[in-house]
Amino acid sequence: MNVADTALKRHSVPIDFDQIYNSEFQYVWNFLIRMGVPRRDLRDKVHDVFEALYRCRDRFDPSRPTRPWITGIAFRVASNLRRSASFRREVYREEVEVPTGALDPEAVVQKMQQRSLLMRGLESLEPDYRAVIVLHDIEGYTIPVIAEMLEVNTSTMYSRLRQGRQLLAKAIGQIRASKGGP
Amino acid sequence: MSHDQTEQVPTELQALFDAEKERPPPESGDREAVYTAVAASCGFAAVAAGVSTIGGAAAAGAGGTTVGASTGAAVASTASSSLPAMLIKPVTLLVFAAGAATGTGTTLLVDHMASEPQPAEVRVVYRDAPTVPPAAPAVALAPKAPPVAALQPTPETATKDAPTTEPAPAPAVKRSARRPRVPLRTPGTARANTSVVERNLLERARTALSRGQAAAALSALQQHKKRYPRGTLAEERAALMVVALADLGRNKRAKAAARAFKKRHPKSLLLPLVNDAHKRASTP
Repeated sequence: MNVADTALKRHSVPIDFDQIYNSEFQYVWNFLIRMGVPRRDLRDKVHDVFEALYRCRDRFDPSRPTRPWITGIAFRVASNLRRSASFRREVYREEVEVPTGALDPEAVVQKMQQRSLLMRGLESLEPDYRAVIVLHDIEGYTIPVIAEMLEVNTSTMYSRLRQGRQLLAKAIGQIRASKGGP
Repeated sequence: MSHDQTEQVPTELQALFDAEKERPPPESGDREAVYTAVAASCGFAAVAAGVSTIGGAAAAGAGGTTVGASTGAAVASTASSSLPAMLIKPVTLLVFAAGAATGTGTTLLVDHMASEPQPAEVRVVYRDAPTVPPAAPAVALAPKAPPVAALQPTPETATKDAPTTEPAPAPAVKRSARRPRVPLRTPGTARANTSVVERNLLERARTALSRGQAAAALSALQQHKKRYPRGTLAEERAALMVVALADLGRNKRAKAAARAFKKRHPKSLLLPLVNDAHKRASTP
């Protein structure tokens, strides 16, 4: 056993891809929606995240939590897509049907409208700002954790969150005003 | 949730966030379709076996080059047992030792779970396409030789590698035997044009790296660079190169390679890998 052997030992335990896939699929799916990946690209992009994850698998230390790692990958996938030349925006549409047996169909519809409004508001944000809002205000991660996920320093993250919320509130205000609704 | 140092969210925004938190889960069809797609593009079927049974497989491989049909069958069975049900049902797996069929071109070739001297390759052939519709054929994988012939062991390999358990009914493997085409990726993207050989070289490097054989990895990478200087996997090769150099302790070159990589591929998905190696090369 040479030096390289010992240095790499902790990586030689293989990750359980199936298990990660099963537990993280929904998170990645939702994260990409929230990052503005259009519905038509969604499956493809979730695929890209897991493929990238699979290809980096040797380097991942299984004793560490998977989330930050996978979030970093998903963030890059989403922002690369949006920055790519061929990217076309898509007007966000909720695709959920109101369940027939819903206790309170009106509440369900209202939630759908709120999600729609939020997604349209988020459209006006750059991926960097969008990500911190998604991770902090929706997923509930703290700023230091997010800073680690996205490999950006903490104070930058605080300022992005603050500015991002301002931009979002403004965008949502404009959308509401243009519709003349509430 | 304690939001240290962050201001209060305006109530109207908060209501929207709360609605978003209740987003309904994706449909199970999405989950399965994406899984199948990842399986196809990473050569996942055998990998599932490789990942979950790597200890056993490596032990079997340690025997050297004599991994024959019986081991192949054993791997096949572990593969099936560890694959999710959705993949198994429509797919019959046919596994055979490498010597039996080089150049089928139809094989979904994956992990080298092998020992150093002569890596025994495990090939997995889909005999029936899985749930996905048989859309446009996968690029660059069209078999030149009739796959039927390739499946049957040549006389000299037949003696030691004859697949005793799986008689391989020839007509079953025809056009449907090619790698399942999953219509998620738009045709013409880089990955579709990657040749199996090119990918194998990198896979060899990767396997070597994960075993701590950085020198072997480096040689595979250099070979790749020579053969495919502008190959579709050049980016991946460059990243692995940084890692191999760092593992070998050739820190100066590793750092230079890392910097070049970051300059050339600033948005690469492999950045974590490269950064990690860069860091290691920078700390004496």
